[in-house]
Amino acid sequence: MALVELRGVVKRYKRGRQQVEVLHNLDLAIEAGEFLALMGPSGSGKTTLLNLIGGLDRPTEGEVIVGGEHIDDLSSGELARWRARHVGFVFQFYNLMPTLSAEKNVELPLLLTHLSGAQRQKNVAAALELVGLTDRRKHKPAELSGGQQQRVAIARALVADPTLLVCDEPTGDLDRETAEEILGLIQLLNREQGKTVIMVTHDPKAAEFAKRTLHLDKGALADAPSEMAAQ
Amino acid sequence: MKYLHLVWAGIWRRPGRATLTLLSIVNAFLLYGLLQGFVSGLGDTVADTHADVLITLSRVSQLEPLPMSHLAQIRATPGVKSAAPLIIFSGAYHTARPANFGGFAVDPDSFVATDTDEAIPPQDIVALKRTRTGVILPARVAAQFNLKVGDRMPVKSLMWTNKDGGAWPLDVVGVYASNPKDLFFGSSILANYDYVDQARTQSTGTASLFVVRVDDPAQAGQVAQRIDAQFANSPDETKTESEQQLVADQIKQIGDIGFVVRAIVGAVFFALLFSVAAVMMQSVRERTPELAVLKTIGFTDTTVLGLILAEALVFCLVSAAIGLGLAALVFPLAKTAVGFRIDVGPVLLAGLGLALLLALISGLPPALRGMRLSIVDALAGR
Repeated sequence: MALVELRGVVKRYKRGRQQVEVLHNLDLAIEAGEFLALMGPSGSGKTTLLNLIGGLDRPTEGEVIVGGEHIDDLSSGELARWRARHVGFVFQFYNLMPTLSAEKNVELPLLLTHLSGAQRQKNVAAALELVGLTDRRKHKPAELSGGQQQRVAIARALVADPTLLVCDEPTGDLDRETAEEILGLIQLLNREQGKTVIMVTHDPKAAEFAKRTLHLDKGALADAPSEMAAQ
Repeated sequence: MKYLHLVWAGIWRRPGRATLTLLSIVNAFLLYGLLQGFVSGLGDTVADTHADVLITLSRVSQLEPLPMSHLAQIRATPGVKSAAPLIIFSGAYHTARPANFGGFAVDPDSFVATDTDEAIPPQDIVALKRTRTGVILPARVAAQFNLKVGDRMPVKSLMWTNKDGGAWPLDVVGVYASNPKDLFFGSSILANYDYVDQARTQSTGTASLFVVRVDDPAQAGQVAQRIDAQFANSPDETKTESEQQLVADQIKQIGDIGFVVRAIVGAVFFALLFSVAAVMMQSVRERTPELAVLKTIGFTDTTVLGLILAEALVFCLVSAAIGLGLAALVFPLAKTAVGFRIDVGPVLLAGLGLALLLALISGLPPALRGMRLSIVDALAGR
């Protein structure tokens, strides 16, 4: 059974008085443990699709099933709690809290759990060690390089041990060398920890790190799910 | 508590702006604390007056003396326990820095009979009776002029000229603990009625007022009417009021202080409300992407609402506590300056209540904005 399943998903947005259909009757299945790259031109609906899978948005029509749960049926509060338990997010521009240190940023998802302060500290230390930033834990985002900030963001995405890692252009703001380090880290998380990774990218070189690549064009999948381009 | 660092970081995201806003709230609450403390002190002073004490003055003017012949009639009035004549004897002491003080010339025996506070030690009363030029000082005046028992204190009366033409040469015979609750006698010098009356150049055989103590405080109103009725249509009509009414009237002569203070504080807080609300709104608007990230991570709409409200609450309460704390530090100085005590507790509690209200009103609109924030729109910069 697929970890993520989209059935007949349609997404329409209102832009002014007009309704724009961004995704057209989309079907998709993503297996547990996959590393899927979503590619496509700007406006093709990549981020919209990612938002639906990550429970940040709801489809206009169709079903989004993750881990056997119909997340499109959940209320706003239930969906927030579901995201806290099951999804880790990595953004292009890191989106760290500028006033908090690296470790406090990583701790954020754990504030929503019932873990004690000591246990939270332990988990944060483990996550920072995994991304190689133990010595920078007290630094604020402005004191870190872009690559280090993205590592903090990855640690924050991982710390609550989610099933699914959703990455929106995670290397879009990084130089080639740093980008490869970050992608290597994501790949490692997929291989070693079995995290299911769904990554939106414009960069074919980034997509090469994924096990499968899908192309979106004008709101529809250009490649059929069966045509897996396994790495 | 686990969110406290998040709340604190949100407050100090822009330290310059937060500091300026904090100072404006501190300033407003300092002003509130001082003014409200002053009003509260006045209210307490009125409330602390004696229910069984009446003051009989001339109906024409408080400065018009009454003949001493009234005293016997007042004492004979049903319901009157005792009555004492007083001459207002406010003055100044000749020092390098002349300063005025309140004072009365009293008949020691009848004064003791009407003095419900019994603040004057009996031995001082005896000394006053024995020494014609004696004076008993409140501790505050003694300390102010560095005077002690046995010292000579030449007083320049503001109302009465000594037949000798100079200052009144008084001898300190006692010092009593000042009573800030007693507006009349709590901080006044007390001289001998006989000496002042006989040595003054005019109004001999009169009193500025009579202090009357009644048997039953509940009957004070009727006793006052009885006293005034005896002198109706005479050349020296009287107006008898309770001590409370007299104190309240004297305070009212300055103006409706309560209203003035409420108007000032109201205007200050009205302006403050808008400025704090604007700062909060701006702060939340600037943090739209950060709030969206919190929601993405799994913070619910209600949690985000709570975080922003908590920011407003912590910020306003801390600022108000600093302002009110400063006011509380100033209260003891104010007590010395205005001569009455200020009950700090209720003023501080009311101030914190006001801070709570300020936080809720100014914090709610941005908190609602944060709660309703769409993650997708916010992350897309829309």
